[in-house]
Amino acid sequence: MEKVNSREARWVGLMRAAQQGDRAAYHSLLFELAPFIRGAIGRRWGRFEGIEDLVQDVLLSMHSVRHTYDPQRPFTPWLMAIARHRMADNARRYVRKVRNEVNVDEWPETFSAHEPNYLDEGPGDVQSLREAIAKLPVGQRQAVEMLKLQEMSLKGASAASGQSVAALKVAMHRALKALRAALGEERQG
Amino acid sequence: MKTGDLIRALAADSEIRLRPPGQALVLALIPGVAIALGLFVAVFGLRPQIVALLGEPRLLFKLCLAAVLIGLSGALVLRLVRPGADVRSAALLLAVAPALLAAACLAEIFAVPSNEWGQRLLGANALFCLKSIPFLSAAPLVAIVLALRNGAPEHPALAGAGAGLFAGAIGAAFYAAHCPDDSPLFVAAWYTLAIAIVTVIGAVAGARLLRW
Repeated sequence: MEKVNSREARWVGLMRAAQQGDRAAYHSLLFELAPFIRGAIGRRWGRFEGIEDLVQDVLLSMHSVRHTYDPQRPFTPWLMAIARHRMADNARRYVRKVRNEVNVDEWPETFSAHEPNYLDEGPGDVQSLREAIAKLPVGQRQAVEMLKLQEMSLKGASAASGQSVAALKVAMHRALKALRAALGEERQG
Repeated sequence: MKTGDLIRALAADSEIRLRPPGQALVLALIPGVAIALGLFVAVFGLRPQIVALLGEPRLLFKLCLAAVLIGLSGALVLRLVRPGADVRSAALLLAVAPALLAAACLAEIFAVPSNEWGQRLLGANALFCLKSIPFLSAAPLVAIVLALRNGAPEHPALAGAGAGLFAGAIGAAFYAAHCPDDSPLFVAAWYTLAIAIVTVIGAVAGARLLRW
């Protein structure tokens, strides 16, 4: 009790000095209050993640209403009333937030390194793409098979097929246009 | 942010720019009451021969009761705006006003024959009283609520109700200087109801405007 009384007297003294604009007194007061508030919150709500945010919230609230402290009155009840007010407010906000929150242990990645390599996944219908390629004229089909499916270079494909690079480019261009048309029609139908 | 950093930032901002709640209330009331006084002079005016009538116990009681209510509700408002202040004792002290009024009503009942009670209760201007007190309380209420916004009321609706009661008492004091109905029975019925209306308005406004 003795200890509590001397602490109260010290805080009243520091707060009075702070209200007179004594920065050092205010700093040491806040410095003593932080663990006190942390302890009070811990006793009331238990220890939890984010307790420091609450401590800071109470300190900020106290700071913003520090002109309402009456230097003739005890300090601790004033501080605790502010803390109670802020904690009730925070408890409401916390509940509102947690209600809509899902905890995940492993964060899903937006871009997976593997996915583009899976041919049988993805947006298109692979079977109809194969059929559409089979229906292409021979020159265009060759171009698609060598350049896209086997991923050969233009030069390599030219050597293998005996067609010029320019002819392969034209064939590839036409093939893509035909495929796009064929698949587009199918999707609409 | 680390708490230590926050403390350093707050300590660097140690200068207090806002006034203590008592000062803020007085400063806000000066224009608030001035407006109410202006409206009183313009719309109502003092009751004729009020100075000569001041010896009349019923009128004197009515004016004193309004003054008592102003004092008690003002003290209550000052408690409501300070976190951790002892609101309960100030609220209990408020019971003095209805107790005085009840005693005066009893005295009136003994002093006046029973066939006059009804006429004393209804008076000449019951509805006018109901409208006038909230009308005269409006400017003080706005002033008090604005002053309270500068403070830190723990219970916003309660603080608003206190503000309404305080403003209602001020409005009632003005109106009492005009109203020809002096019977405590009339005061108990109509002044009370009018002040209650202002109190409810204050509570509703407080619940919205006095959060922090």
